[in-house]
Amino acid sequence: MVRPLTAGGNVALTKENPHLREVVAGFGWSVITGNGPQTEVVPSAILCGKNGKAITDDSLIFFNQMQSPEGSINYVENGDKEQIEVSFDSVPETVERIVFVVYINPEERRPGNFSAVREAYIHISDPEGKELTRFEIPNDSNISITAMIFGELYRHNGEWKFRAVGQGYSSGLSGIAKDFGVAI
Amino acid sequence: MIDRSVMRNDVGFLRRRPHRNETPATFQLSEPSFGKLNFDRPDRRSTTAEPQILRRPAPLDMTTRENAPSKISFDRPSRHPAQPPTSSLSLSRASTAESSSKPAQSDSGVSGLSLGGTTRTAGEKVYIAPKNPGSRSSLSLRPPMDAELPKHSVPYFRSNTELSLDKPAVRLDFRQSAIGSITITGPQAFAWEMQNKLGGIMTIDGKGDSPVEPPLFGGRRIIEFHKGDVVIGIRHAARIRRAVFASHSTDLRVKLYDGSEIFMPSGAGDNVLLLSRIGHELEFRMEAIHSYDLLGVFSIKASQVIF
Repeated sequence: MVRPLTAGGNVALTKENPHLREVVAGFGWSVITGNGPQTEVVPSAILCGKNGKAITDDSLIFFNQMQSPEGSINYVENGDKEQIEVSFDSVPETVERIVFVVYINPEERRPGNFSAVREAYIHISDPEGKELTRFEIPNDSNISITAMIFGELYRHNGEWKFRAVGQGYSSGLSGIAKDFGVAI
Repeated sequence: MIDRSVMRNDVGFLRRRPHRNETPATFQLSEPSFGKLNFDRPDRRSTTAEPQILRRPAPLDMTTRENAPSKISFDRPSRHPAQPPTSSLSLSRASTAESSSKPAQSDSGVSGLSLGGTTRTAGEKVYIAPKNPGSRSSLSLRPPMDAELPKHSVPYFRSNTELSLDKPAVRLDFRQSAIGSITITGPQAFAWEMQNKLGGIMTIDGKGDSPVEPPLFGGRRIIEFHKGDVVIGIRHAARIRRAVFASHSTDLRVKLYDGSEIFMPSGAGDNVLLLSRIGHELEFRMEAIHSYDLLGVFSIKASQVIF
């Protein structure tokens, strides 16, 4: 396992791994459960352009909107809750950043917040499962946080890099959508 | 079950790895998952003054337990005296001892459930969802403008909307249909039906509830009365087939995640609010009825528990 990044830290993925054409972004977390409503954690991705804003109104993509690879024999592994494969060669030129956002489903009935979320992380691996970098979300009280940017993949001088972010939003998915200019 | 009904075809560079124990996709893009939906609706182009119900309500099949307590009738005088009277809604709550052991049902085909399904009669109209819900350009999957909708004329919800005879229905896009929860103020009762035909009815005072409760997801009923309003956990809306909300005298307001509303005034006559899941979208429609026998009018079978 690689040494985890700190918030703001970045890794030059393709520069350090010249043959890397595809990565797997893995998300993990655990939720403190009780007898009542549970905190529901939802990963998603926002596709952003050069200005850091969502390319279109439709650029917020829930994880379960992403198709599974046809004939894939690759399943979610390594203890991750969800895994997203990213093919660098197929990313449109207009997409400068892929921002990974994880939000708490804003249910009317005790939606919860990140204070109930433990051991959250995002890590980037190669297609064979070798971990390239990792960011572990600090277990702060996070009681007011209902959405968080875990990290992002971004282009830099023709290469792809990953940056650990860990930016929380008390305004939840609405706040993130407003910041990135995406409709929800 | 993962809702795959909203697949994005324009972001092939992002692919989600499945879990080993994931059930195969039961939705196909634009097609209902449990056979064809039966969407008999009153023909609003009819020139007759009275709204018409094309499908004769099925007789109720609510097996009452012995010693069932008081019943609640949601019947209203029929507007069609020539028609044979519909059976009144007999909502009996289980006896005290049994209700205390009323199980929390999960939507997984729990053994012991008697799930009544609706039968289709010859000549019954069937709604088939469109195979191609509109062309979608790369990275631009905003639902097409109303004029571009190929198969249905229901407008998409864009801003606060009041339902009326001229505009009886509105549809939520896939994002509006998936985030958070929807709150409906005003209903005094609602009937519900899951995709697997698990169904029932709930009343605001609880006295008319059917034996089986809506299933739990994430520790919450997928649909229930909460602080006097009806709340629908639409994160799991893929499980819902439809729901019908009724009120004798109060307006019905559907509040979405962003605070915008769909409004159905009480003065619009004998109407109920029908929620349907069509593909990956939720549709709200004002439906005229001649009887507040919700289960009967909409042929929703209240599920029973067999011990």
